[in-house]
Order: sequence, then structure tokens, then C-alpha cells
Amino acid sequence: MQQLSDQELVSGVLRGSPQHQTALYKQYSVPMFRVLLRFARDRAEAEDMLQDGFVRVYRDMGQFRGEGALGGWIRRIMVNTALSHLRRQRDFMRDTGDFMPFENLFRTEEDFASNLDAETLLKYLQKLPPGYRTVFNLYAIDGYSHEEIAEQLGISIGTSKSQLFKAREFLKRILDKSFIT
Amino acid sequence: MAEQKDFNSLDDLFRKTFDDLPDSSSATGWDTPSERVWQHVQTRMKPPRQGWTSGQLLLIASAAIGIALGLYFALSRPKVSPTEPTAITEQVNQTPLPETTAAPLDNSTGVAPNTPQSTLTDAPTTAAVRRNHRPAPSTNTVAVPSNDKNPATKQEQDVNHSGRRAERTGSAPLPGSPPVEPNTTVLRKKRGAWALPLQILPSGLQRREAPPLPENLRLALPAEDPGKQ
Repeated sequence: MQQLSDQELVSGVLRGSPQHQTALYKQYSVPMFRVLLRFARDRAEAEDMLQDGFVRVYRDMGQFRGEGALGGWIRRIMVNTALSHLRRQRDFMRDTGDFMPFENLFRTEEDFASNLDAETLLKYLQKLPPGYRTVFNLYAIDGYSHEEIAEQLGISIGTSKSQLFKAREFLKRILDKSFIT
Repeated sequence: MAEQKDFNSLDDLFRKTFDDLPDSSSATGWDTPSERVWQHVQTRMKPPRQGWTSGQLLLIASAAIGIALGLYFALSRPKVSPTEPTAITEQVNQTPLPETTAAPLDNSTGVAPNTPQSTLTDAPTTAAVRRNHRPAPSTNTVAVPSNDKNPATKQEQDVNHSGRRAERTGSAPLPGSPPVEPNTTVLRKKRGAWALPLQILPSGLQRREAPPLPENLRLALPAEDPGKQ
């Protein structure tokens, strides 16, 4: 099926066309699922987030003004959906102190060295406590500032910085073995 | 400083790894959502709006009900309730006969009630009642209860208004509104009440011992009438 332009997708979804709804999902489900996998603790939670996110996208499509790329607009909706899911969890931002579950991440040294790809990095991220993972995702990958993170998560800027530092410490100790010198 | 550099390298590693992924899904399928997601999305999506929304239907129904109620009250309000004409008729029937008939003797004509003149005297009054559809303030006619201090002036002022309304609607006045003369039905009954006393008036006056007529008036009476008295 030929890939439709953003304008065609938007107008088709606004008309209620099932073909355009399907095309929009097929075009953006994979990249958005990758985003949500970084925020979720496992695949099932990411799928729940993706489902809610696409329902929001179809529902709020009339609010898309076309000023930017449709993918960026959908991604913001997905991130907000993920944050909504995480905020509903108990002890979402609880400081886990000396949380360092390095064991059982890698079977062998060879396994670690040869699989440093997105799937492997995702595995590391999902081992982080939700607070660490969320702040690291927002700051390091999605480019949010600490002020924006504090506003989004309802925490202080200091807490955001603290969570980011601990997340980095955890990830650095893993990757120090072979990558970062 | 070195730690910050490590952190920046760490951030870059993750950012580039996740941003540089190909558009197509991975061969292992780790980044492909299951079919269950799309099925659930489809079931949760609302169909496009077609036809009337519930809000529009509610608004239209409210407007229709309002119009219907307005028409109902507008059309049913002027109708006379079944009890009102009866009440007025009862008032008419309960009016003492001597008062209604004796008044023309004292004030207007001074003619004996059983004479043809008295009938003629009463005729214009009845006609006036028919014409105005309301009792005259004078004592010649049946008095309809009224709260006005000056019924004559008030009625003259309201003749056009209330008379037309009574003719048009046949309704009784609302509480607090200017008095309205009875409608056609009541007037018809009232005329019947007038006709009956006029026919039996002589015998009634005999029983009630009407005051003697003046001398000059007796002379004007026809010859056959004194025989009845």
C-alpha cells in the first residue's frame, strides 16, 4: 500500500475513513511503540500505552493544526499517554536508594559485547526503576529540560536532577565494561 | 569533568541508538506491537458523527415541548371553566325580585311594574345589557359582584377591552384584572332570568305588597289592569 501523506491521513481520519485510520496506525505504530517501550517496564505495558495513545490520536485529530510534522504531534501524545500511565502507578517516583540490579542482565561477556543495540539498551532501561527510567528518557533521549520534567511529573527540579544522576550512574556502570572509557 | 563527559556519551549512545532505527520493524519483532492493540483501538474508536447528536436532539425536544406547552396554555386559558357560568347564574337567580323590579319605579320611570310602560322601561335596560354584555351599574339590571368603587366609570373604561375579550373568548376575568361582563352563555341565561320575573311580576308583587302607586300613575293605567290587582 502506498504511503499516504500526513495531510491525506489527517483528512481521511477526520472524515472517519477506516482505510485512513488503518493506514495511520500502520505508518506510526512501530516508531511509537519503540518510544513507549522505553517508558514501560515491559512489552505488555507498552502495548496498553500504545492502545490508549492511538485512541487519543484519533479522538483529538481535529486539534492537529498542521504546523509541524504529524509524527511529532503523535509522538507528543504518546509520551503524554505514557506519563499518564506512569503517574497512576503507586510509588512511581519513589527513590529506590541503592538500586543496582546488575546481576542476571547478561549471560556472558560475549553476549554483552555483541548485543549493544536498541533492543539491548531497551532491556537496560526497563530494568531501571520507573522514576529513573522516566527522567532519563525525557532528558537524555526526548530532550526535555528539568523544568519541563518537573512540571510534567509534578516533582521538583532537584528531584528530577537526582533521578537523572542515579539513572546515569546505573547505566554507566553497566556500559563501563566495554564501551565508555 | 570526565564524569560529565561520560554522561554525555551515555546520553548520546541512547539517543542515537533509538533515533537511528530504521522505519521498518525489526526482524526479531521486538518493536512490533501485537494485533491485539489494533483490534482494541478499533473497538474503542467512536464512529464518525452522523445525523443528529444527542445534544441537538435534546435541544429540539425541549423547544418542541416549550412550544407545545405555550400553545396549550395560550389556547386553554381563555376558556371558561364549567363552574363559572353556573356561579354567575346562581347569583342571578338568587337576586331578589323586588329589588330588581322596584328600582325602576323609584328612580327612572315611576311606572308600576305590571304596566306595559314598565315592560317598555325594562326593555332598553335589557337591550343595553345585550349590547354591552355586562350588567349596567344602575339598579335596573342584575348586579354582577364587583370590587370596583365606581363600577360605572370603570366599566365604561373597560367596555371596549373586556367586552371584546369576553365576546372573543367568553372567559371570566382573572383575579386582579378589571371586571369582565359575563359571556354570551351567561347573558342568555340572564335574559331568561329576566324574562321569567317579568312575566310573573304582578303576582309576585301582590304577594310582597308592593308600595302603592302614585295617583297620577294610576290614572294612566289601562282599564283592564286594575281588575287584576
